[in-house]
Amino acid sequence: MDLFFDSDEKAFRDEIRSWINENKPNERWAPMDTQSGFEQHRAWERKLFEAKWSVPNWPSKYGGRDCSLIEWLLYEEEYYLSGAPGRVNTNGITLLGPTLFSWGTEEQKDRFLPKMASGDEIWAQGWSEPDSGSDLASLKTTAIRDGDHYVVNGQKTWCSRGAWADWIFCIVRTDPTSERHAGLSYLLVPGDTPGLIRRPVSRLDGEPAFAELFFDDCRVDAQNLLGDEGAGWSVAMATASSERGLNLRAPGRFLAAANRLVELYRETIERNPLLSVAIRDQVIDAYVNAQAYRYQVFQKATMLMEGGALGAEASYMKLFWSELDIDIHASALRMLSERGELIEGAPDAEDNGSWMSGYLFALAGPIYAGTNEIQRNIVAERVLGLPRK
Amino acid sequence: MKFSFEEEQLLFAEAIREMLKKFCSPEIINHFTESDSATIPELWDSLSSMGVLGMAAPATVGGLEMSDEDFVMIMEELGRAGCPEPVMEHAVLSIPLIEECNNETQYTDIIESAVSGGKRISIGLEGHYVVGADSADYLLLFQDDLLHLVASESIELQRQLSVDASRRLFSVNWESSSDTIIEHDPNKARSLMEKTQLRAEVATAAQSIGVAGRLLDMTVQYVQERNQFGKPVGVNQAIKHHLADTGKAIEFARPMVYRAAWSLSEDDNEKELAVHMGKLLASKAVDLACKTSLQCHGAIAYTLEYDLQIWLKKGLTLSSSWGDVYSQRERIADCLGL
Ligand SMILES: Cc1cc2nc3c(=O)[nH]c(=O)nc-3n(C[C@H](O)[C@H](O)[C@H](O)COP(=O)(O)OP(=O)(O)OC[C@H]3O[C@@H](n4cnc5c(N)ncnc54)[C@H](O)[C@@H]3O)c2cc1C
Repeated sequence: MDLFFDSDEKAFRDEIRSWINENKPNERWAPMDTQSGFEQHRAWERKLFEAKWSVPNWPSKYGGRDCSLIEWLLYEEEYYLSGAPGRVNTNGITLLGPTLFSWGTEEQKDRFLPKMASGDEIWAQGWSEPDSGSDLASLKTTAIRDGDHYVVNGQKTWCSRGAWADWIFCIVRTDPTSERHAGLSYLLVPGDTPGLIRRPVSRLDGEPAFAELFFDDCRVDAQNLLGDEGAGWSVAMATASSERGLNLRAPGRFLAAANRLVELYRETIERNPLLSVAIRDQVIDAYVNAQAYRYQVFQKATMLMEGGALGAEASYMKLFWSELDIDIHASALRMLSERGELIEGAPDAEDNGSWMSGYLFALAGPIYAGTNEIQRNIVAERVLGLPRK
Repeated sequence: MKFSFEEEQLLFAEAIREMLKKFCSPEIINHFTESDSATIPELWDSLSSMGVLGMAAPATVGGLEMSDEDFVMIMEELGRAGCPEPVMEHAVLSIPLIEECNNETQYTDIIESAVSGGKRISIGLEGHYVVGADSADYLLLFQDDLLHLVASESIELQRQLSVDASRRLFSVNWESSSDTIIEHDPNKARSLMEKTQLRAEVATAAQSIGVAGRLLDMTVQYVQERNQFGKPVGVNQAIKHHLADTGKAIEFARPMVYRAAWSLSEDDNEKELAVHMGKLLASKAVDLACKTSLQCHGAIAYTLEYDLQIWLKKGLTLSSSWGDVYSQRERIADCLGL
């Protein structure tokens, strides 16, 4: 065991730290979940890409630096510490990207990965349907083979940034007579496919970030099938393990938030020395849990680098980060007291209302990427071995 | 950065686990508490012959020269087995302390016999109870910023009954004299005491994780065997979710305890913070494991006849010994300047 960073790791960290601090925008942009913010954030993705900092853990032929998993974790830490803009193509680079590496043909990887890395093609996830949330395998959207195309009909919902995304990775039913997991396929659908209607839906935080997608005889090139026809569920599970494991939510963002929380506490206690010690204890617990997530992930990263694989334990991680995120933001709101409820635009809002917007976003954590009830079921049944029925 | 143990470390812990299955079974533990004896001789001998008693001692006195990182998993195994012998007090805390004061090799004999298990040593901080004092030949006692080594004949012991009947706690009454002092320099004695506190926190945290893991495993097994309403109680989500939360608490505390042990071994400058964070999380994990394991068992676990009680009580006492969650938060606040 050696928990010090070696000289390569340190050099890597210093390099991203200085690049990001020199290049990050100083002005505040519109949120990436609005149409104008979306395009600003796309331009930022290109800038990252040109410096080879958009996907450093990918192979260089797709725009990465072949960095190690540990280096990538350090990159994430530095990225979030710097306060650089959010990553508008997260669902592409952290969810579809790794799935393409495991399941894509060479042609598909060459076709999709570089444009994903550069932000030229921003991706959305089209899985949920009005009647299929946790029970994803009940989904009804069909894609019927017709020559060298699939004809897609049905409806998707809660598709993040789906109203503007260039592409959508969908799970569809290619065998209409099939039930549940069988007969599903993983299809990559261009956002401008004729017959596809996209309607933005405002989220709880007011951003029009959700989209409903209506497919009406949309013809999609059969070359955009990822994995074999009928193998959609297996391919989807690769994506889901990225959602729960280290890819989607590396510790960096929570460490940065926990540091900001500690700073906020220092400022608050100076103004209000009578602040309840219970709040200090919440701050401490949030700080400690962010560290616990960090070391848990270092341990898992080492295991992966030594050739191991992350199985159902990934569900522990999803539970942990989603709860941690809420705790961090909830303690900040407690400290802000009556200013906690102020949002962007209010003259007295702390840091432009970022703690409240962060809190609202954190509230979604236990719902998306598989709800936390489902994660607890997975842990109980597949990690601990309790019976399903 | 490489957060994994070496093969050697894993094999040693595995061997200890196997040995404990044999010499520290629930039947043996129950027999020990019922008989009210001060030790389990066969267990102590096995710990000695496998090198556990001298694991932190230098090779020159027959020790294995293991670091806190090397033996953190052993402490976890001792917790998992519910080991009632005061191994931490003897091997992790006392022997290295005497070694620190052994400048003129005047204590080499004592250290050697402690490494072999022939003589037993326990330790007490000023104003605290001493675990395993009745089986000890010597006690290390901190008093007024000095460190004393006192032969047990000259100490008056008073048994304090712990809720954990296998934990033999004593208050001690003794007279210090110039002969009992083994560290005269108050600065050094204080720094030894601080170091001892940190080591004890890590070793206690590791045992707590072991206890919590055992509680979880026993409960996972029980809820599959116990049927109500015509099916195992473990099919119910309320049960599943209790146990998933317990598993999560253990899963996230464990690396922090390992990291704390590593920090001590490296004398890393974040060691205090690392240790208190590890202890905080381990205490929380074992508290939760006690609560959920009892609840998911129902009344059977609320008896002395069912073995879960061994670990429930260990958990109850380890969670607060060497600093409970509240005092750990205070210590963390100090480290962070909050
Ligand atoms: C911010 C946000 C972004 C999202 N982005 C996307 C996206 O980009 N693409 C996409 O496809 N989807 C997205 N989703 C949708 C998300 O995947 C679903 O919300 C999720 O799968 C849960 O489905 P549901 O909302 O229909 O809830 P339901 O499945 O209807 O569940 C309702 C409640 O019942 C519980 N429940 C359901 N089944 C069980 C069970 N077996 N055991 C115990 N409890 C159960 C759930 O845990 C939940 O509490 C997003 C959601 C949010 C909040």
